[in-house]
Amino acid sequence: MLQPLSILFGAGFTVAVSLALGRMLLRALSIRLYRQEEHPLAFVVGAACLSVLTFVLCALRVAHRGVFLIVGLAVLALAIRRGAHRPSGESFPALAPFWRWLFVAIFSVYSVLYFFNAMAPEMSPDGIGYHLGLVSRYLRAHGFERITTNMYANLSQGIELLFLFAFAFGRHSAAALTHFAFLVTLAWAMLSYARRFGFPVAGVCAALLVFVSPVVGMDGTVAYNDVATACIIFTVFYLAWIWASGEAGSALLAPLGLVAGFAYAAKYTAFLAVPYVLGIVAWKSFRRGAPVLKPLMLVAGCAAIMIAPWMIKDALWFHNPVSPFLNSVFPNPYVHVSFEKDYAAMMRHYEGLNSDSHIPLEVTVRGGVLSGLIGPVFLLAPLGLLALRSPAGRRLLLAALLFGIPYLANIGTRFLLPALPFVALSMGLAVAGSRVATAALLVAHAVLSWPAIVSRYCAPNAWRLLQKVPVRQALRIESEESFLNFRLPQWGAARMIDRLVPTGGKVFSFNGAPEAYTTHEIVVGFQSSFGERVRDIIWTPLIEAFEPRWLLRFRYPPQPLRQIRVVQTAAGAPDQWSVAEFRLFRGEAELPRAPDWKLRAKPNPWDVQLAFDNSLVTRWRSWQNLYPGMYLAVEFAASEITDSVLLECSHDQWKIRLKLEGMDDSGKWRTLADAPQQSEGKPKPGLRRAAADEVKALGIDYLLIYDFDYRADDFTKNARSWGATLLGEHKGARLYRLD
Amino acid sequence: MSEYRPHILLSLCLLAGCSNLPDSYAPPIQRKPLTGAEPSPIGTFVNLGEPSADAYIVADVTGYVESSSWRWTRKRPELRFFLDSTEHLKFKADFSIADATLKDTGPVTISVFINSHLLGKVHCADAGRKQFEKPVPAAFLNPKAVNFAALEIDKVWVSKTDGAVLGFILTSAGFSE
Repeated sequence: MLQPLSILFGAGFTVAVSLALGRMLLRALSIRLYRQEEHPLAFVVGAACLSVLTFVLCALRVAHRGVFLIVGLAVLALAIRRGAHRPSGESFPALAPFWRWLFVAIFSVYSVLYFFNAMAPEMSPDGIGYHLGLVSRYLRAHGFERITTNMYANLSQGIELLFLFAFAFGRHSAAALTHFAFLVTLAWAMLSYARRFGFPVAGVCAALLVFVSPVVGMDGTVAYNDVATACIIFTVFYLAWIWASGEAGSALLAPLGLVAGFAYAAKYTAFLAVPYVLGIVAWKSFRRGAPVLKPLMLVAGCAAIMIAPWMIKDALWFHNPVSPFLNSVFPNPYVHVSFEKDYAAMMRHYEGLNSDSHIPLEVTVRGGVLSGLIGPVFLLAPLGLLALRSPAGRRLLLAALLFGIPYLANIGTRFLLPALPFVALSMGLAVAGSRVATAALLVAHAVLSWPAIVSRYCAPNAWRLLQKVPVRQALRIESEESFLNFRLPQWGAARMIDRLVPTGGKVFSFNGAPEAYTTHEIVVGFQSSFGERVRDIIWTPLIEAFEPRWLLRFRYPPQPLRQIRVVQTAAGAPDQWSVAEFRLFRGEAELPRAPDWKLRAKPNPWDVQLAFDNSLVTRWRSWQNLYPGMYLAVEFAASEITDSVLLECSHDQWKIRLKLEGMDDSGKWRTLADAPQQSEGKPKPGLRRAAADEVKALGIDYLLIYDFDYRADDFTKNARSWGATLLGEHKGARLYRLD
Repeated sequence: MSEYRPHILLSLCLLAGCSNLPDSYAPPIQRKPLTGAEPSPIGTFVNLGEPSADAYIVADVTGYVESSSWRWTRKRPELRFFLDSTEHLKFKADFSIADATLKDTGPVTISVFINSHLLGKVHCADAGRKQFEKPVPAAFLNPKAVNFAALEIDKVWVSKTDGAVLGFILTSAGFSE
């Protein structure tokens, strides 16, 4: 019984502290709100404050459960002392009974459904992967760690810090319930917004359209951050239009800026909230003939409070304030330019989507390819265009358009969520004139979104809630272990790692593991430059085209040179330039590599040593597509006489064109050879063992290989050649120790 | 606005300065050149339940692991082992005769061959677990090479329905000192 209580306490405490902070701030600024709207707006404003407060605690490395408890209790005590717990403000005009009861009925039923789903053991892919994986790591470290092996740690994590606050008390499900609080808040805020601006029926309609939507229910009941982000964006919109309507003074600009900045802190792609607010403030101030710069500075300054910590953290630790993006603008050794490019391309192209024309049906009805569905009634979304007739409708559709822009970068269904509240409100405005049509739409949506009904028409693999309400699992009548072991194949792999890997041991995996359920660091092959380097090393003995058997020899008359460089002159994708070994010769003798040589590379200078380490399983790679001007260079302490350069390369770079240049004693560069002579080297024995040794030298002693991993069979068949010992196996996941 | 410009410029410079492009690197510690052959994927002993057991199997052992620990054989299961040395080695095999096959075949005899040399025979009159263990003359073996061991059963069980052939249950086999 203790576990359910700790879960409820963790989530409830986080929500209560957020609400208290928000109310105190709004009331300290004398911002007058309606009674009903104060709750959702205060929660989001307070959540921003709690998030930044948790950031400070993490930065100070004092993120302990006890500290959270003291801070939270102090906030609550202060709020009670200031009377922030008492309701204030006038009430909205009452909703018509029909709409009130319709809203209460549907909202209540789905709230119960969502509550039990959120409280059930967490098993969402990203939730157990990085959202809570990082949260649990921060809690173990009592704050931020400089994690250079997981690019997800470089993203802004404003919502994850709220999860951390809740997780400290109630673990995974407390975090999911915190996200669920944002889902309730979003519906509440939408209804309040519509009531404030005079279209309550449209508000009832829109709030339920969003709240009941299958993908919203799925996402909002797990430890993701999409619904929270949508809620924050909508709050930004809401506060902006309260200010724009002139019903609140300039004091509202401070929380408005904070929440706009919180949008960035929640998710990079929500940064559009900041220019949106600045645009409205500038435009409205200009139209009123009021000063423009001062309110803009206030909003921007408050937004910066939320944004700057994340940018500074990334700039200091990863040399890129917006890591893991814009790596070509902010070159750094932690995230490759090629990764960013591939990742962006992957987000735009989902496997199985043959044409963009399938997207509407996929995101509304099928949900298999794009991971989730918003519900068939959203096929009627074009009706929302009728809202263009009113200023309120135009404002909503403009917001939908703006906050829908990031969807172009990731076409998964859940990435529609930031725009969905605006689309739903415009649909509500369009149909609200007809009571029958509105009620029919809502009832149809409620029926069609019930999990057991959804399963009848969606794709079998659509991301959706379980058909059965997981009451026993939520209340832990069925144990968490039993449920997860049955439902989550990878859960056992995480337990196996904790059981068999000693404390501090690092595990490499090509495809990850549920990091939220293990205390060990999992280095995933695609999540960082480091991971990609390890993966490259392991793949070298497994992929023929990766073996450095392509020998490129530049010959030139013997002469003294101060520097020598190989320049790549071709352009094109998808090839990257790589060199396993760069050797210099005088006659038949290779020049020993002297400690006073200076090695340079462009791009990716950080890995240049990999071309000069005498290891055939490591290589310097450009980690970018080919462009003219890439080079690898050696500078001697004093002029050296050489007459040939040998590059040992792999064949996975057919498009490269190379020339050799040398710098003489006068400091001038000139071409020594226009092209290399090509030959083929013999297969090298012992590459597997050499690769294992390199991986061990990088601090990784364990490999987690799934049956579906590329060439997984090689590890079972050639375990001895790798110098690997099988420690355990669980449902197709094998854990090896590198001896 | 002009009063803010220096601060804005300074901030941008600080952010840009964080990119920290190094000028050059010295050559790293040199790795030893690769020498010799790829280590053999097979060792001196195999548990048939292990995923790597496939690498040891030459013939007449089924591809399926039963109960995570054993496999069925057919008439003449043959395994291969890599031996560094050939002195003072024993060949050991753990196997079982199934009650169901024994009922049809009657008592069976299993002959053990090392590189085609007969090492010994085991007569099995009843079902259950058996073990064979016997020193191997060095002359039978090849050092630093792959060596073959076969366990041939004299009578196999043949399914009357699909003609499937079963010999005995093999759990582990190999050489030890």
